[in-house]
Amino acid sequence: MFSTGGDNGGYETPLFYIFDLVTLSWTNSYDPGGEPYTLPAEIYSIIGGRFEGSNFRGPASSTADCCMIYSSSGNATNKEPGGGWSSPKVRDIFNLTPAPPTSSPNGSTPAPPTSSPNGSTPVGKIIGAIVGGMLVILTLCLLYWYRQHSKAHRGLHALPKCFRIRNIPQNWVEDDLQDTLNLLACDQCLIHQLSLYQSCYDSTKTALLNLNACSEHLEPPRYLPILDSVDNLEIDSDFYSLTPLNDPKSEVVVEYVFPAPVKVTAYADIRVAAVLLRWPALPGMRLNRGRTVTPTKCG
Amino acid sequence: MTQIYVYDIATRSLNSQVAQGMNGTPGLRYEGCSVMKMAPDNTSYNIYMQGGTNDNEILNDIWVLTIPSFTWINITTGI
Repeated sequence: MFSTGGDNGGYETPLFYIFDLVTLSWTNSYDPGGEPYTLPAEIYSIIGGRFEGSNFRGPASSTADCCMIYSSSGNATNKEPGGGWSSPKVRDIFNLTPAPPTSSPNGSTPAPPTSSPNGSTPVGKIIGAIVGGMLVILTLCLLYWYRQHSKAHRGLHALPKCFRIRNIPQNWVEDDLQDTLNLLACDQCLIHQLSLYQSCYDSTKTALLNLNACSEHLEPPRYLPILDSVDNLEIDSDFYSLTPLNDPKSEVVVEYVFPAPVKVTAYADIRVAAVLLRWPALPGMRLNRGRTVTPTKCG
Repeated sequence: MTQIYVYDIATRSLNSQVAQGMNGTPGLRYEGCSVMKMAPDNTSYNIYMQGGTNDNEILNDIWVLTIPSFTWINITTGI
């Protein structure tokens, strides 16, 4: 957004300013070949949408620590006003759902099959039809049983999936989180591994965890409302774009994983967090223990 | 600034919608600077608004009205 001129109350100013709509900061340079617009976390954390990676934005001379930002290309899930639509007219303007299919213009029903002119019914055909029908039913039953069986089998052996939960109230312990997940997501959401951290960017906690079962109930983005806080619990698993825990394309060497705060350094936090000691075995991840860990304080 | 007017150019009709705020809503003003950007997949339209005046003071706050959820978001930023 370019802002030029204007009146500051006393005199008209000739100044020229640029506001970056993604980093949400005033800047003094403009790159016409820069990255296209994506939604800053301040917006997509409210209207929903997946975190899709961090972009480096900023002058080339600055360190990555200052300029890693989180953004999203959309996938908004909150598409209605919080207080509801003020009128059906406005709703129709923004609810651009496709019109329901109109009823078929051809109202005629298909002609009933004509009865066989030959009144005699061959016994062989009847027996063949019965046997054939039973075979079809048997095959369907077998297919159904096989699918159920393999589904249960997969469920037992599915790799645990790692999630991050933010905005956890300061006074919560593991049991509070477990109770909340059972209550709001799925009563079989049993935490398999958990690490609760003090958040770096505000007075909440952040958790890294994986579940023994029911991972699908936490599929991000999820925002679980809780009583203790005005903020929803925010669940994602996208932090692995830095450390692909869930679906590594090849062997991934991760030194440390840390719940990186929004708009704060990503790699820096990963580098300094001594999570290695507390979170030793996430699936698909090989920890490199050869490096010295230097924890730094939050903030 | 919670009463948002929507002019439908297709039917040439003026409609209004109540917006809500995550951290309050911006006060009434004029002569602000604003720009709209849509999400790459068109699932949201975000109107950024900066500054303006309400006759009592010169404003320097920045807000985003995100549509269609009609939510005001206060952008706190170091200026």
